[in-house]
Amino acid sequence: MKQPILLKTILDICFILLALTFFGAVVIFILALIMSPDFYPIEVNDRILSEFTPVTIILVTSELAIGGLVLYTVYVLRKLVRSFFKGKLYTRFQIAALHLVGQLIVIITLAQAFTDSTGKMLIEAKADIAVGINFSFGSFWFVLAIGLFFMYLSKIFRSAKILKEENELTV
Amino acid sequence: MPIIVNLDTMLEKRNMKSNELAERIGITTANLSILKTGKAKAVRFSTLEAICRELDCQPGDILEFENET
Repeated sequence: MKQPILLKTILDICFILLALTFFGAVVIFILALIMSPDFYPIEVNDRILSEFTPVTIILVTSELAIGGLVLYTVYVLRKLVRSFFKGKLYTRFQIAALHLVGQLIVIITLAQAFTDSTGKMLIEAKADIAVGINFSFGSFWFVLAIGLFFMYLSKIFRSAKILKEENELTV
Repeated sequence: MPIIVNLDTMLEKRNMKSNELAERIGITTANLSILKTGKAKAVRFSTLEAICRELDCQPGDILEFENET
């Protein structure tokens, strides 16, 4: 089978850019906390923070935690794609990695939605529930479905592993 | 597994070595060892047919069912 070189390269670029952004954001946040919010304009829910309150600190921290989880997801994906290069398919690692990536995508999507709505409630003191479809691949439901798809793919890999073992042990 | 492979017994009866049987039926000694040790998950009819032909026996002489209780 042909090796997914393009996929590996895209994930590598994505990981490097995400890592730089994430660690940069952490450093800027810490420096802004020590100095003042004016040090670097930090945006929460499309609003630039003018002062740090416990609520805004919690919101920014949770946004950073989500960013860390996104970085970890891409890291696991990278390792997963690299494992395909070894030529072995349906390994225990691949099954576990697919399941983990699926779980992380679901958790990140739900956490992002929770922080967005909580942030809106706490900062703008307004709550709204919108039901609709976003016509892009960044849509909440689509990303959630992708997460569940990864988890299902892990189950398919598990079945394939059993079938492969049976095939190997057929005399 | 409740299916027991009595290939060793049959080989002893026919005074035949494992590697000789493997060569005659066209499978590797490693695969024959998997079958002998009961690690095999399935046996192809073609393999069973070749074993029976070479050992001049019936499938029941090689395979046995034992209840797991």
